[in-house]
Amino acid sequence: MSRPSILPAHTDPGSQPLLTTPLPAQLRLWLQGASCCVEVGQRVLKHQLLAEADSEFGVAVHAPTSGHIRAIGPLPQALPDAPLLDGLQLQPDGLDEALSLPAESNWPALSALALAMRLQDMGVMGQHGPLLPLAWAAKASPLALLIINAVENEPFLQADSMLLCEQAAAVAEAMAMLGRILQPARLVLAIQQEQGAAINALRSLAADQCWQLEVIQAPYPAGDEAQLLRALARPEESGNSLCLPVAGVHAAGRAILHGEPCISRIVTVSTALKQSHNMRALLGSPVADLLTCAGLSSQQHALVHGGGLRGFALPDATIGIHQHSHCLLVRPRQPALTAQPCIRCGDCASICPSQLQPQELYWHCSRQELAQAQHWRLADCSQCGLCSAVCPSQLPLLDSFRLASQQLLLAEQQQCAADAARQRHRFRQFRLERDKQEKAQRLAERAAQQAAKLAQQAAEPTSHAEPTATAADKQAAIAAAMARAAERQQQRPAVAPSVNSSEREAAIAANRQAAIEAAMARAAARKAAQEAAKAAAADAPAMAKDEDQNKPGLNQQQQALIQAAMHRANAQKAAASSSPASLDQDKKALIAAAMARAAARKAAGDETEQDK
Amino acid sequence: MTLVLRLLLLLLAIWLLGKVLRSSAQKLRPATSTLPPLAERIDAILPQTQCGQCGHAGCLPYAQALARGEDSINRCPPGGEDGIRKLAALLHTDYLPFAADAPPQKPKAVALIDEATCIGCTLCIQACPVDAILGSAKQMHTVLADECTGCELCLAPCPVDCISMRPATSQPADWRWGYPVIAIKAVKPGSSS
Ligand code: SF4
Ligand code: SF4
Ligand code: SF4
Ligand code: SF4
Repeated sequence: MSRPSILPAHTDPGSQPLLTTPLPAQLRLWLQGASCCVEVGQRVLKHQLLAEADSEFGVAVHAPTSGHIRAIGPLPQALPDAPLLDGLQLQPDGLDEALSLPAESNWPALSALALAMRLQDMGVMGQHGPLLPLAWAAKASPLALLIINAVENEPFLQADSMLLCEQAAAVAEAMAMLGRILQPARLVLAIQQEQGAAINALRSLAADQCWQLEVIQAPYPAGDEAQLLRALARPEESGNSLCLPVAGVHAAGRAILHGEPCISRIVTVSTALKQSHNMRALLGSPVADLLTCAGLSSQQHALVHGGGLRGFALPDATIGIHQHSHCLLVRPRQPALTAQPCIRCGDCASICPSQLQPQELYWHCSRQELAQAQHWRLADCSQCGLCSAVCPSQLPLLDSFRLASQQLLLAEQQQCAADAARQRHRFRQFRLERDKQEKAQRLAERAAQQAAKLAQQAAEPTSHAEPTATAADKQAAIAAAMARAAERQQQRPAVAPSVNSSEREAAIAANRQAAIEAAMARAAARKAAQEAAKAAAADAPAMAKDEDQNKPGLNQQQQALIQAAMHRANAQKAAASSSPASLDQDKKALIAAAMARAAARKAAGDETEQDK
Repeated sequence: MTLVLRLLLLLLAIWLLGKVLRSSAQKLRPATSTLPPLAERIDAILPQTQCGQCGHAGCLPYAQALARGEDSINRCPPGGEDGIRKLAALLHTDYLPFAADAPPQKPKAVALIDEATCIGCTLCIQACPVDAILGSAKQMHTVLADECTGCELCLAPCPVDCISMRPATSQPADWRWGYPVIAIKAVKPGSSS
């Protein structure tokens, strides 16, 4: 790829007619941000939808003519280094059968967002993705300034001028439509002084319209969005303005007013000898067909896609054109240029429109020192390509700056991704910790419930024993009273001491029985405690599955178990302590009862003896 | 008399100058107290793949180990040499080449679950450090490619080996300008004097 040493002046399309390319043998359409909705082998009609936009930045693709789908898959694309991207091959059948086009009759009722989505569905593309950015349209903020950009930015471009000369009325209509729907405070068509024919065509239309014609005289790169905004927007408008390419606006007019999807565009095919041809070509037409139409052969020429300063070489003439293919430069093949070291001539610095020091920037970019490159204001480089064009050492300045800017962008994206990953990771850790705590809490609650139940069960025997004890007490009291009465009766005849010894024996026996009963109660309580521990231990494996992370959980569980055990012990103790307190009374009662029983038995024995 | 006055004025001027210089120096120096802790600052430049190839349980533990000076800066393969440079700059140490025992660097990839083979065991969900896998018990699982960091931690637990690593998808947005190539004229050894 060679570089012009001086900027050639803009040439007007003048009297050259707009050619129309013959129907190519094959169309290669590029599916960018669109998902295919046809199949291989299917016959499609002109204007039929082939692929729907599947992202915010994609646009729909329509069939430029009728024919058969021959292949869907990776195809070389008109991009530097021709990466393979998903594409679609359409073989025209020459009939050019078209679907009938339903024109939108109530278009003035469309909102900005509806318009943006309709344009996306119609395949109308702007600088990046759909003509009206969807994110912008969704915000629906009032528009202060709408710039229609008809500036032929780079040398050799004529497509926009040609469009304005040929279709001035249609463009004016489209602008009126946009003005009606988007309601900008100011609608401006920006055009450059050199585009005389186009200006003449528009002048007659510009009278009493909602838009103004703004003729600018700034040097290259005046047609860049940022530069145009700087030149045309008033300070209060600068944050709230939109810049649309005129080709897209024309296509939008066709799409909204006539229901016709965007299937073609005007391409300038130019040779370095200032011969240029403008032709309306179907999207997807191979580059070779356009060259043939212009009377050139693709074999002997090197091809450049784009303008004279920012264009890039195309390796292959079978690549199909897309909506951004405004220009094809055909140059005689030249031996590859050899780059020399920078001689510090300073030409690049003096021509740079952004007042940068491209030689310094190049030094850092070629050494991959992006931080230094940023320090030398790489971000301000508009990638205009002027420095590359003037460099006597033929250094690939523009290419390095493009690559470096992209690397910076990539680094930024990676940083964003890393931040998102960090956040997700931290949230996950927080979530795991929270789950663990909740689980431990649940287990502790369950253990506490179980312990409470067990404690109740352990307490129940004692409460059972109490009523019986009180009943026994009562009985014992009655018996004791009876016994006392009997004693009193027996005291009178002065009872023998033998009765005393039998009384002591009965008391000892009663005491032993009480001890045995207490021991049995204690054993039962211990057994209950063991059962509780086993039940709690059965829960433990569920926790243990979560490995060592569950230590706090286990600790809590253990604590719960310990608490339960302490509860039980307390209950036991209470039962035990209550029994000694009542033991004396019980013992007395038992002794009394035993005495009474003995007395009764004796009395009975006496009676039987008497009976005998 | 005038001499004494001059001397006094001189001293006053020196004292004032010293004061101004000291206060401006303090203003210019970033206050260490306002900076986040060192481990946080290290964590901010680690790639957050959370893969554990550095020998720690994640990026933050590695950052903490670095902050304590217990590990060397050349152990994070996803960070690459760029990452080592950044760490060296932050920690004021020298650049170190990759540790000999560190795993090799790999291009960025994302996990892909073969949905026909997945048995819904949920083991991969438990392994994923960034919750990039979606699914539930006995249901088909899938990876959210946008959230996957490519840590490969989900590969090992899968009992049916249905997870594989694919290079990060190539989309139009991923297209890059090629590296600028400069043609070099071959010079034959004998021909040039
Ligand atoms: S490409 Fe960048 S550095 Fe070169 S002249 Fe244009 S703005 Fe300046
Ligand atoms: S024009 Fe080329 S040779 Fe001259 S200073 Fe710039 S980079 Fe160096
Ligand atoms: S190797 Fe790097 S990315 Fe992986 S966990 Fe360690 S610090 Fe994080
Ligand atoms: S899906 Fe797999 S490779 Fe991706 S982040 Fe999760 S565990 Fe790592």
